[in-house]
Amino acid sequence: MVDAGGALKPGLPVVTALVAAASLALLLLPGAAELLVYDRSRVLAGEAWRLVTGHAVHLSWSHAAWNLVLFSVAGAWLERSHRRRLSWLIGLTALARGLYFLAFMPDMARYGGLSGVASATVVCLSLHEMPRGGPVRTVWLTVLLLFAAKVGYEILAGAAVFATSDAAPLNVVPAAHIIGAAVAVGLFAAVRRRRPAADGVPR
Amino acid sequence: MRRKNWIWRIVPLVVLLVAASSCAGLVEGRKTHRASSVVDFLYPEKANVIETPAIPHLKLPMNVGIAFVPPASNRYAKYDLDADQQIALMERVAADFRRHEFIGNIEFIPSAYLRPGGSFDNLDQIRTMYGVDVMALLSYDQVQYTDEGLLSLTYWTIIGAYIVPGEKNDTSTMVDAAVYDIASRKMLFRAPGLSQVKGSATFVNQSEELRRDSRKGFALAADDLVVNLTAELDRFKTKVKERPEDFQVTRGPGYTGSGDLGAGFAALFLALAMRAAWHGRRRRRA
Repeated sequence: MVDAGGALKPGLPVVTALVAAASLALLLLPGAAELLVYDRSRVLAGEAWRLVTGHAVHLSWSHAAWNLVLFSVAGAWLERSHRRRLSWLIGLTALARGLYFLAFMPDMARYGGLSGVASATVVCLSLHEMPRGGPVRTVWLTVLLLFAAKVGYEILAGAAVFATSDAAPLNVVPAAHIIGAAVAVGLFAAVRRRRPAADGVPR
Repeated sequence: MRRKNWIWRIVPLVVLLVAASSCAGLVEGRKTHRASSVVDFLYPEKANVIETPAIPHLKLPMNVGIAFVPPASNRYAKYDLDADQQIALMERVAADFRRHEFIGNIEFIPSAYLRPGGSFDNLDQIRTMYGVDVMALLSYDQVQYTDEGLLSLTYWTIIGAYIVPGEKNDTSTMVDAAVYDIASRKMLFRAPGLSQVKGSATFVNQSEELRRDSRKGFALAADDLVVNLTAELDRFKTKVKERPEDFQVTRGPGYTGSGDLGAGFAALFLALAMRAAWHGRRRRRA
């Protein structure tokens, strides 16, 4: 409940709740996921909304579970102080990721998963919280380092190729996490450049 | 006259000797052995040659060929497993492979396309013909022992040979699936299936009973093979994941990607977030 200046701000994390609820609804409603999942051939056939909506679709409950937990916690935390920024973050990450898949990953026919947006939220939250200093700074720096280590391991070892859910093996795409992190860093830098904080805490 | 008496003394002795030798023939066990060998097929007459396999480059989803290794004798040698048994076993192995998303097409390779001692040259031909990357080579080894029990003495009554099961049969079977990456010549994993069948038969229907035991032995070994193959496939996935230096993995076109940060990272993040929240609350109170 901290705003940019450090004061508590009331209000429910509406944006976070909406995105999480949409993801859950897509798991529950039969056929809904099929309409929104990123499907390269259908995107090329004109169904452009799939570029953005694919992130809300999950392939199974276990696939959704940890993504939703991560996104809900980090999103709610960030939204309490930066609701509009979170909205931009979600929208830009979803779009950037969809466009990247379309342009640079022609072999990938379909994609689903909130992890790109969750990555963006975790990185953005860490960047926003780190300048507060003290022991909290170390904690958020650790989060960033863990995230970097995880993505680095995925890229170098190719270990995520056989990650599994309860339904099917998952071909985890580290690019989705990198794009999320890049959007978060870019947004953080843009905001910081536009409104440098007098008290050292970025707006 | 004295000579005639001498012959009558010898006759019972000869009969006794013949009978004794017949009994010995009955008591001595018989053994039937049928086998095909992956080693004989891949490395014929290469006892001292060591091939160094390269690092397998697995392109997902992998196309898999399944074939029975031919018996070693000659290319027209009769297969001990009939076609129905072979297809049934290949179907079961294929079903196990199909459970995994990283497996693409599965092709059953006719036995005629594999020649005894064909080695990797033969597999390269199969690879070109069928477009498979990986071969699951099925081989078997079955030994049947037959011994005469005490009841076999009733065969002397002639009718006993028809109705008394004096033959004791013991059938040991091993079916083996060895999965090779053709390009790198490396064995990815293998799974055995074992069975033991004990039975009895009358003297007259012995061969029929042995055939039945043989089929049963193969069927039970196939059951065991499928169980072990399932475990080996899961272990293989883990091995590829944990030992990236041993396997290069790339994805082929048409795969489904997903975003998943995983339980480990999520748990660590939650713990750190709780820690940060605790620090923040302390700071606000102060």
